[in-house]
Amino acid sequence: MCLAIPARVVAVDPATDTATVALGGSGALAATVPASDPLRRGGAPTAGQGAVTKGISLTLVDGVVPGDYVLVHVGYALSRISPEEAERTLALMAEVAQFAEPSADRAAANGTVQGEGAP
Amino acid sequence: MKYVEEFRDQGLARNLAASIAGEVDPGRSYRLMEFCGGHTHAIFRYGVQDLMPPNLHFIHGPGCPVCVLPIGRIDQAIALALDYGVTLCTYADLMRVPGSERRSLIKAKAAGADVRMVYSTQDALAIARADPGRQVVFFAIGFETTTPPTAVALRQARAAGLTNFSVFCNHVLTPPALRAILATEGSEGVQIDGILGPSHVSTVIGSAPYGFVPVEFDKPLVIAGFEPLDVMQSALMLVRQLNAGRCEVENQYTRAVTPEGNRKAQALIAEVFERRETFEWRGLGHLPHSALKIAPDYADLDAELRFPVARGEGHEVKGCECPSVLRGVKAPVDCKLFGTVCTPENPMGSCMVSSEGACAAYWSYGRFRHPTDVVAAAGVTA
Repeated sequence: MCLAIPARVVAVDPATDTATVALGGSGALAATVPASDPLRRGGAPTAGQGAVTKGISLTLVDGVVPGDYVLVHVGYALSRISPEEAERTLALMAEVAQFAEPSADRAAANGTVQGEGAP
Repeated sequence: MKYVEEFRDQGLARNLAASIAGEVDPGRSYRLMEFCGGHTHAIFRYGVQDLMPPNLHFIHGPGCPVCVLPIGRIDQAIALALDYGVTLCTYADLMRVPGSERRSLIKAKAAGADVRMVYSTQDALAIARADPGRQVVFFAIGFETTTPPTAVALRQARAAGLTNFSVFCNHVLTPPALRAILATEGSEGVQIDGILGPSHVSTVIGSAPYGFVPVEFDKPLVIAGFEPLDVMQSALMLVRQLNAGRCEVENQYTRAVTPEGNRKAQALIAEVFERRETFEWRGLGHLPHSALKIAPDYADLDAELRFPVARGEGHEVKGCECPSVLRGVKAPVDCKLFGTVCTPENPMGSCMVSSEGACAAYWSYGRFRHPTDVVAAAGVTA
């Protein structure tokens, strides 16, 4: 019930205070399609491969622009995700990690890692 | 998905686990209550408990809005749909929650009531706009995360002059429930050393409202994100506080939670709602000032006033241990109904209905962890 989901803002409509967001997917399309491609819709980031797009309300959060990440809950953006703080949190986890485990084990562990957060 | 996958990274998880194992004091135990069902879900789905040292235990809290809704309120909603013939819109989680005599909204729907699942309050408003001749009631439930969206819908209904829309309000507040758990901790309740605080509730209310936890109850609290690495890092932060004899509110989920929270959402809540004198919580009883009702300015949109329904007592299913599970006093496997007659397909209690409920999490991810569970589960899966 309280589980909000991170989503990338694809387009904002200030007239209705709503946005189109991309949920899930790899984001690969957005990364590989050149800015000149019509898929980009005038340079705006696209939804990305495997993503689901959804219309949400921006009533609760001010100043959202395309490219921002927001937490989406029951059709509303609840808050903006801070990329800097996310990086800091991951860096702290990595620091802890270096302190905790010998490098050989770490290399072995990282061999099976999925995702993009490995230090 | 960015901001999801990084926080499920296996390598970092192993390393965080090693840090926790290295830093815990083998001579003491660490009983950490995760307040939210979202944390419970992450702990089970990703096997976080198995990555913890044997003296660190997670105790499941009452933070599942569907689970804590008293049966009487479900009965009232069913009566609204059946007796008044309104279109009752609600979040899907509520459809199968058993009311008295094992009735539920989905059974009421089968019996001809117009009950609809909606994703958002905006969908409920759209249904009201589309058919002005029908009375549409939104069955509102949830903690501080779903409250602002209900407030927005009420404001929009007022602005649009919608006379066929109203809200049956069951919004509840996190801090009073936390206070109730801590007030009975130790003597008659569960033993807790530290608390993993709500993540998305805190995006709205901020970290400041938890200040009473270390001051009045002498317990550390770390606001924790819902991904498995967030839970593990928060556990490590609690272990460090406990080892150092510190007792503070800390925020692990800094990428979304600020000390002041979402001011705009708070202002909306303050405009549209006011606190109830008291509200009943399943498992916790009547808690003072623990829920919201619609403010007098918006009273014309209050379904409880527009469609008065007698408030019944509500009868629990015999043998259901949901109330004790919600207080953290019992584990789901301690319930005789768990995995025998009570399963997600055929739930007897609310904790088996919502995916955030402790019973549903045990059933989905943890029922084969203990030999007794295997016996319990074998009867139904065979």
